[in-house]
Amino acid sequence: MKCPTICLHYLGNMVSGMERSDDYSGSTDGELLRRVRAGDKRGFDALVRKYQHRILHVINQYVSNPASAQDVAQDVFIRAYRGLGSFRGESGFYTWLYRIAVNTAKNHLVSEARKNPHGMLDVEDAETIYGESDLKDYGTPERILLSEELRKQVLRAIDALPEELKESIVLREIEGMSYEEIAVVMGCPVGTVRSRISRAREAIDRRIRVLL
Amino acid sequence: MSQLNRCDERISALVDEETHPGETRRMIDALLEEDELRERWERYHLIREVLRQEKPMLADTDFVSRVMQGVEEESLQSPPASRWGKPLWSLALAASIVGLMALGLQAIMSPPGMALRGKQEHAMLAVKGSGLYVDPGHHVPTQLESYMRLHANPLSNDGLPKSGRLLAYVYHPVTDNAP
Repeated sequence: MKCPTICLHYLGNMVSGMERSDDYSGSTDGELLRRVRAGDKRGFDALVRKYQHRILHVINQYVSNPASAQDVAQDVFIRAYRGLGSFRGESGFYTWLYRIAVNTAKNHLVSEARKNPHGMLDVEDAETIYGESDLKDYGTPERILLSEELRKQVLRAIDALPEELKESIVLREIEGMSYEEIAVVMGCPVGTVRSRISRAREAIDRRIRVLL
Repeated sequence: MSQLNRCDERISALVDEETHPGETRRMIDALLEEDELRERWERYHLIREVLRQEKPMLADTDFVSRVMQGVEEESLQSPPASRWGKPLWSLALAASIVGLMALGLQAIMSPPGMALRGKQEHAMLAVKGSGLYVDPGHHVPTQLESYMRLHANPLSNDGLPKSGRLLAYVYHPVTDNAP
């Protein structure tokens, strides 16, 4: 894959993706939140499933200890659930969740520092504070291995796809294009794009399901 | 196209936020009803993370169930409606505290004897109205005045300013090397 180009495109698309998600009314998140407010906790379950890895990634920028990061991430979602009344939908749900994640992670670091009155910091947290990012651990050895294996399998599955499915899923997931934009690029109807992306995902899913 | 394929297509489109509003509602109904669909929804988002992050962080396999257990415990402590009404209560409580603090601050900041002068003037007007007029130049110490004088004394018995004593109590500088 043309990584540098893709990465640059992805950064741009991430920003535009976040802007798009700010349109709260009628969005998937908005609809799920409506269900949660109506008392259906399964709506929140779906939101946790959607954002768990992203939030963990955010937490990991501050809290390097893998076990602590999982606990802090868990706390983020519980705090979010508790504070749903204060979420008015003026920003996207993820933007709001992101702010909770950063605050919770910082509070965790402060409380850890208080627990160590002699100034003794956890080595991994010290690495976070002093910017030794290269030395950071990203999880338990098992999770790191699984994460690498997953990535490998996903890329292999994409490589094995028929050309039109491969192009569709890459344009969607890596370039971050909308179905309409992909339809223009590939010169086919939006319905075809939708079907191709779905088939590509199904093929990737078949390959990773066994690992999870 | 089979029913299952159409469902796959719709869940994939839902992940991409590419469904029409009516379709979104129907798919979310299905998502909440079917555990298998929710697991697929989770894996589709995982695929996205794996592709987008150079070093994706994977949540533990029981992460969702642990969060939902925490949510369940939250719900047992207070039902959702009352909990989500909490910010308004908190706001009202915070406003009351700020109001009380402002009143307290006003009382502390006002010059000593100011309240007393106001009371004296008020008392004199009342006496004037009754016909028993007292000359304003003639100072009549009242019980309130002696109380205010005593408490307006900026120094306490130990010679420290009262506000200083309060500050010394509240302010504890914390240094990095503090034991």
